[in-house]
This record gives sequence, C-alpha cells and structure tokens, in this order.
Amino acid sequence: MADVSVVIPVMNERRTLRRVIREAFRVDRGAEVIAMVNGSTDGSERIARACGAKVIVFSKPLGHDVGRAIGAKAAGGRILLFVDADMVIPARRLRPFVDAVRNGVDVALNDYSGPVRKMRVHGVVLAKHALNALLGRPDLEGASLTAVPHAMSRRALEAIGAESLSVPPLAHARAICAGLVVRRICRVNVGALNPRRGRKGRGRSLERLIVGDHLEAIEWWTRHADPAGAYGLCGLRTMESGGVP
Amino acid sequence: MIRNGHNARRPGAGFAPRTRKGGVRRAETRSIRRGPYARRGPPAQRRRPARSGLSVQGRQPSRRGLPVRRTRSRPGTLHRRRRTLAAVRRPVGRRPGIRSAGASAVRRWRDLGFRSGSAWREAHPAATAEEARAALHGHVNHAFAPGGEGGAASSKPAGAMSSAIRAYADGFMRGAGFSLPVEPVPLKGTASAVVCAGRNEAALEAVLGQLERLPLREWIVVIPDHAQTALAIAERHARSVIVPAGGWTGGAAGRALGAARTGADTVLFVDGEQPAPAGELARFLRAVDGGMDAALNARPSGIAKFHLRPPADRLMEFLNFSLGRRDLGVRSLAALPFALSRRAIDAIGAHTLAQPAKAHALLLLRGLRVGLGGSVPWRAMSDPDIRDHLEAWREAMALRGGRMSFPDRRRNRAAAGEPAP
Repeated sequence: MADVSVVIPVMNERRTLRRVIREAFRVDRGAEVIAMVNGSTDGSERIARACGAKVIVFSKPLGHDVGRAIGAKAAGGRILLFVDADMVIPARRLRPFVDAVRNGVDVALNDYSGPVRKMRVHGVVLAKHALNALLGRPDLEGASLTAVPHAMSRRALEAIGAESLSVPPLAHARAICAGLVVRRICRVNVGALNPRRGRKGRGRSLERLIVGDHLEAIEWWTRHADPAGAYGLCGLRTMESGGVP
Repeated sequence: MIRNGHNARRPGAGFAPRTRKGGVRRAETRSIRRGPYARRGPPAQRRRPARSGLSVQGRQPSRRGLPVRRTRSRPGTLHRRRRTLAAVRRPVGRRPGIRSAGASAVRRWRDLGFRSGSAWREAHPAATAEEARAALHGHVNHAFAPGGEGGAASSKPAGAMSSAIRAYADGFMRGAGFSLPVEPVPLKGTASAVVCAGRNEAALEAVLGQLERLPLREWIVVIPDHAQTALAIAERHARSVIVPAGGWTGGAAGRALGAARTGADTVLFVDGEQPAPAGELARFLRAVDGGMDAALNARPSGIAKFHLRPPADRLMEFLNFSLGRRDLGVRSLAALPFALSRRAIDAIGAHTLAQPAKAHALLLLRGLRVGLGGSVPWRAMSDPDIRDHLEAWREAMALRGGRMSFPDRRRNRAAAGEPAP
C-alpha cells in the first residue's frame, strides 16, 4: 500500500494535467495518484491514464469539491495530499505538507489567506477569517481546507468523514472540533497561480457559493459547539494541545 | 480684540455684521461710503471698489488677507465638518465664514433667540444654569418644530438649518444671561442616555460634561459596586439616574440594565470612559429622532487594513456581509456610541443588549432601519465573545436557513454521500 495518495479532481484540464500528475508522482516514492475525472470532454481522461494515474470517471460534472471527497474515499495512502489539476505546483513545494503530516500534524494547510493587505477584502477572504475566529482559531488567519494544496492524515480523514470534503469549510470546522492538530505549514500563493477565475468565468458567482459554504460550516458549528452549554470548548482544547504553530 | 459678546450685542447697532475687530472698522466704512465723503475715502478703500460694494451686502474681504472661507456657509457643508470639542466651544458669531449668503438669516435667528432668552429670564429671574439649558432646548424644539417659527428653516438644507439653530441657541443664552455650552437639537420625541462607569472612574466627569449640553431628559448611569468616585461624579448632575450594576459585569450587560430603566423615544448609549464631543452625539439623536431605528458609530471600518484588524472586527464584518449589509463594514452595536429608537428596543428587548452581536443581528433580521450616526473614535474590543456570535448566527439561521441567501446549486453531493444542505 502506498504511503502517500495524491487526489486530483479533473474537469477539462488537459492543458496542465500532464505536468500536474508528473509533479504528484515526484512528491513521494511510490505515491498513488488518483485523478477524479468528471464532466470532461477534452481528453483529460486519456491523458490521466497515459500518465499512470489511477482514474475514476464521472461523465457528468460533480461540481466543486465533490471530486475531492470521492477521490479521498478511493485513496489507500496513510497520508492524503490534495491538489488541483489546473495549476502546476512543483513537487518540492508540495513535500512540506506531506512531511508535516508524517511528523504528527493531522491537517496541514496552505498558509495562504488571500489578498488581505487592503481596506476591503473579497467576500471569501472575509468568510475564511471569520470562520477561524469563530472556531477559536484566529491564529490560522485565512488558512483553511478551502485552499489547495493541503494534506491530512488518515486519522483526520476518518474523524471528519471523507464525504464532508465536498464542503471544505465544513470539513475544516469538523477537523478543528474533533481536536485534530490543524496547522498552517507554508505558503503557496495559489491566488497568483490560479488563472481559472477569468478563464472559466467562475468569478463572482463562486464567491456566493464559497461564502455559503462557510455559513454552512458555521451552522454546523452552532449545533455542535454547544453540547452541554460549553461553547467552543473543543476548539479551545485543540489550541492547547498544540494546534497553535 | 473683543472676545466676549456683550459689546457686539449693543442695542440698535447690535446686529450689524461684525468684523474680527468688533465692528469698528465696519461702522467707519459704512459712514464714509454713505456720507458726503464717500468718493473721497481713503485710497485703500477706493482701490477695491467692487469688493467694497459687496461688503455693503454683508460680505467683505478678510482683514488679514486670509481668503474668505465660503465653504462653511455653503448649505450642506457645515454639518459635515468634524466638530471637535474646541469647535463646539467657539461662539457661533465669531466664525469668519458666516458672513456670506445666510448671514442675514443667522442674524435674525440670533436676534430672535436673544429676545426669547431675555423674556424667559425676566420671567425666571432666579433660574439655575440647568433650568436655562432645559428652557433653551424647549424653545429650540418649539421654534424649529415643523409647524413652528422655524418651519421654513426646516425645509432648508441641513447646513443652513444647523447654523440657524446654533444662532438661535447662542442668542438665547446671551439673552438669558448665561454662558453655558449647549448643543441644541430640535427633537420630536424624548431622549435619554445610558452610560456605564468603567474602570477609569474619573473619566465619567468629562463624559457627563458633554451629555449635559444635549437635550436629554435624563441619563442612566450604571455604577459598578465600590465605584465611589464614579458615584460622586454622577450625583453632582441633576439629570443623573443612578443604577447600581449589582451582580452585572461588563459594559454590554450594563447597557442592557440601563436600557430597561428608560422609556425615552431615543436612547443614546455612550462610553463611560471615553468622552465623545456633544456635537457628534447630537448626530445620533438627530438620526434616530428623524426615523432611524439604530444609528451606529460611523467611524469607518477602514482604520487599519484588513490583516491588522482584530478577530472581533472580522466576525462583525462577516455577520454584516451575510445579512446583506456589506455597506456597514465592521460597524455594529459592539462599538459605542450608538442610539436606538424605542421601536428597536421594544423589538429586540432591552436585555438582548447584553449580547451586542446578537442584538445587532436581530436589528437587521427584524427589518429595522439601521444606519449611521456621528463618527467617534472608539476603544477596540478585546477578544470576541464567541458565545454571543454563535447566538447571533443561530438567530439568523433560524430565520433564513443554514446557508442564508447563499445557496449551493452546483454540487452533486449525493455522489459523495454527503447530505444536501
């Protein structure tokens, strides 16, 4: 069984897919690379197979992040690394996340908070910071499972449930509530690497989807933070047990 | 230089526009121009015929070569000017810019105020300062009510209106023979304030000193146990209603306690440790008296760039954002001062004010009119009250659903075995 599984959701990404899979294999010797090809009509599936990835195909688009959840269910590795197919991140910049998990971190986050040195930030950036503040982890700033790359231990995956990865902020809240060791590892500026906003016209409507995801996470938190009147206790315990970098 | 007003208020010539030198030069100028030597005036006068002509209408070039500051007298600008404590203290009649366009109206109002003040004092020769203030606020309300003498003025832009009110108040106080700082605000309803004495008890003196200028029926001072200094300060003011904090702790809890003790139409909540200028506080009263339900501190959220703001600000900004009020930024009931209408207090319940985030969310959820009042620097909160915020979200989501107005119509969650939201 592979030590590291790399999960890559793919939807019409033939332009970058070959290089992304190549870097994924370079992360760890014997890594398992899972390409979740969904709603693709541009030959991405053929490319993924040719590159040696384990391919799971859905003819219809799954929508955001669902591919990551299904890929995680199929993964067999002890450590799971999540990347996107539309941006090529060199293996040397992915390894720190895997190494962190190897050294005891449960959820290794990209230390990327989006553009924050301004007076008025994007709604998603605001939502990410607010969720962390509410979870009692303002130290995480805007880092969350919403941004790739990130890695997690199998223990973390089992604790939060692979299906919850469909809504990353929800998975993030569950991880913190479960008392897992959640840390910012290093910064990969996906904002600069990510060209998709203009290219696929996802722009503003994506903002409303992701803000809604954060509200869903908050809603879950309002139901689970207070089992016996002890608000946010499990979040605080995480901090004390080494959640703070 | 004549600093006090009594010279300028000489009967007869008293209401001619004055220069900084007390009107002497002006009187000469006029007699020269109108008299038989008009054409043979000093060379300095003849060199500027056009501007001298203007001065007959009430405007004249500045004596010291300073430009005449027209901006202040232009309608709509005066009320936007930042009013510092110093600005409030400066007598209205000495403002250099007031001489232009509306000057004659301002003189008329000051004259009217002077006569009202004199008449009131004649009827109340033994009046105290506190009574004079109360009388002034009553007269201002009467004069500037929609049907009153100032009815015409009320249709004018806020700037012209506010200079007329100031002139009237200034005249009234002089007429009554008192020299008291006042902040006249014509109000339709009653107004009270709620103050919580804090750790810095001595600061309460300055806070109450500013409240004293406003047309407040009373102010509720919530005093923590053993705060003897604060108690002594509050007792010195006739309008103080002292409420012992008892077992309540924290500023927000004190506000809830205080709010429950007043039935006024407008309730102003101020910081007991950081005095705010009465002129700014007046804007909160005006906003709520004019129909707003909650007037928040307009101090912009952009004090610092986002990454430097505390977690409490981020939570508030996101709460506003998700409730469709991105325009409010971080402004909320968590920042003092603010003012609430009776309708708002009754809708959310005075006790809810102990939880600022929840109270704020409820105001927005109940469709109350939430806007901005004055702009006052405020003390940043320490850590956010997570419990308060969780309850705010619970209220919001009970009414608007888990994702509120941000639905997910894209995901095929069933494929991953995740239940729909």
